[in-house]
Amino acid sequence: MNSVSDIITSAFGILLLAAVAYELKQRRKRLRELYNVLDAEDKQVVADLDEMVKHGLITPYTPH
Amino acid sequence: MATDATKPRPATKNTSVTVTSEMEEAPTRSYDVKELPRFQFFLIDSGWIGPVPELIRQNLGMITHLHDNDPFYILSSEQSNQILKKHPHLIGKDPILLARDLHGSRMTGATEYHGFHLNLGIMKDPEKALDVLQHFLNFLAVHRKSQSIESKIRQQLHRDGFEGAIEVLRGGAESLI
Repeated sequence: MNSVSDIITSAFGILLLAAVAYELKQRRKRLRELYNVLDAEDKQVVADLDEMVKHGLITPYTPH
Repeated sequence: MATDATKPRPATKNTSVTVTSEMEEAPTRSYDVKELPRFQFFLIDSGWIGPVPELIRQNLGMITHLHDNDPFYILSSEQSNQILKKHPHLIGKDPILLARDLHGSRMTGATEYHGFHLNLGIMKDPEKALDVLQHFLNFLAVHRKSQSIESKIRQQLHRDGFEGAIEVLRGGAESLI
């Protein structure tokens, strides 16, 4: 009887830990979607923005 | 290049939120007026109609006031759409505030790009979006002189590591999303 309850307790413990780990992963993923360092794709975007600056298509904003 | 829609206007009462206690205090220091710019800011905003994009447009002035030493480029909606068409992975994430770290480029050579972006378009709640924007600007101001700001992003904004995990689980990160 004791061994059955031990198995059930362990199973619930493992399930709880897995749920916590999953939740942690999801929240971190959302944080990375919100703000992140520039990756390879973004670097191409920055290169295009650089070109726009170089050709004078965009100029620094000055508040009125 | 800023259109009327992108010109900053004062924040309305409805959209103001209290600055959270999570924000760090900037170290006391005297700013050199002739200090070289650390960042180049770009705002990519294709012109979605909604409370979050509108809120960002209303508060653009705050970014320029707080980081007035750094050039801030606002792309028109046409220019933003061109960028989005060329880089479709950005669709649905704008308004995007992209901060290019010029210090990183100076340290490693001009061919490498360093920096980070804030994808405000994925936020649905305007008050939380403003909170995130304030938190981001606070982070940049506090770590402006940091040698490795990218690693600080990973540690403090992504909540990497054990301490970060505890904070995420305590709900610290949840308040930002």
